[in-house]
Amino acid sequence: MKRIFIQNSLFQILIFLIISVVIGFGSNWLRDDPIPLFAVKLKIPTTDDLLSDIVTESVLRAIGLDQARKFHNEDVVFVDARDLEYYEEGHIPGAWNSNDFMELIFRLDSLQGKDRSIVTYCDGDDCGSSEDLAYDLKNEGFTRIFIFVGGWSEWQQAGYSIEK
Amino acid sequence: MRFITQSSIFIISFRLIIGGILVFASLDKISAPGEFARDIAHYHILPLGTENLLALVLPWLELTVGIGLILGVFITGASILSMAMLGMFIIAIGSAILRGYNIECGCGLKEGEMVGVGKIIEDSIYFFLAWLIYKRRGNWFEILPKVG
Repeated sequence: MKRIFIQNSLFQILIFLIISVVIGFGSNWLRDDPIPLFAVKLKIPTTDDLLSDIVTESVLRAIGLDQARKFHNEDVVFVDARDLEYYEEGHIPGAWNSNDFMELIFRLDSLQGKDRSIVTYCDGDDCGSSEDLAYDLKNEGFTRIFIFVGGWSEWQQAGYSIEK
Repeated sequence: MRFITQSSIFIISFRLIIGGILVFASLDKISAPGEFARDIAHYHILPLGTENLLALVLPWLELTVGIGLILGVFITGASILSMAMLGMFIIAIGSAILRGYNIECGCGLKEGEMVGVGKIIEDSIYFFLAWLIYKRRGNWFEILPKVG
């Protein structure tokens, strides 16, 4: 009796799993914007990427502290992806807040168009909001987006100036 | 617990609650699998970019299991899978908290919901309700009857 119960339970679980796998992969295949079956790591920028002012292909790139510092010195726009309360407690000097996304894209577009560099950051390499923001900006047509992976934590630890 | 597992009102209510939550939680994830895959990636648990595979299958599993619980189809299998998914969420959120991650939960119930002890307690309650459904002592409003 127990064996039949286990067999029937496994059969039911298998049916749910098969349906989910088939519909999950099938619907992704039919989507206009399918995702790859395996996630692709963020691209590390090459020297050409960093030297070029304009890129035609919209690809997100991960940068470290040194490159972030260099961009900051070059007055590249930094966008803080953390919640407003954290932003107000302290942020990278000159960084914009992303709380109002529509206002953010309007300001970015008005200031520099969609093909100039933008750096997004959040708490550090364990947070995800900088990457989410970067994807949102990419979806809005911005092409040259860099994600400062170490983010606010690494910037502070390095002893660089901050703004409140 | 027996009075609960013997009560059709309780069990049907729990089926509707857990089923409804699973269906609701799946909708955003199904409409934006890329965002859900990134939410999974932020937990830093899965290797080799396999978060995309999970992001494609898990929302549909939530949806089908949720519909199964609501309609009364394969309730035993649906309750086991509910417990498995909720157990997985509890472990993932717990590990994120222990590692000090301040990330979005990706639970699909509320926009911008962060990981936290409250979320673990919430999922634990759902897990308990799913377990009560599994231990039910009747086949009330089940299209396909209880096995065993």
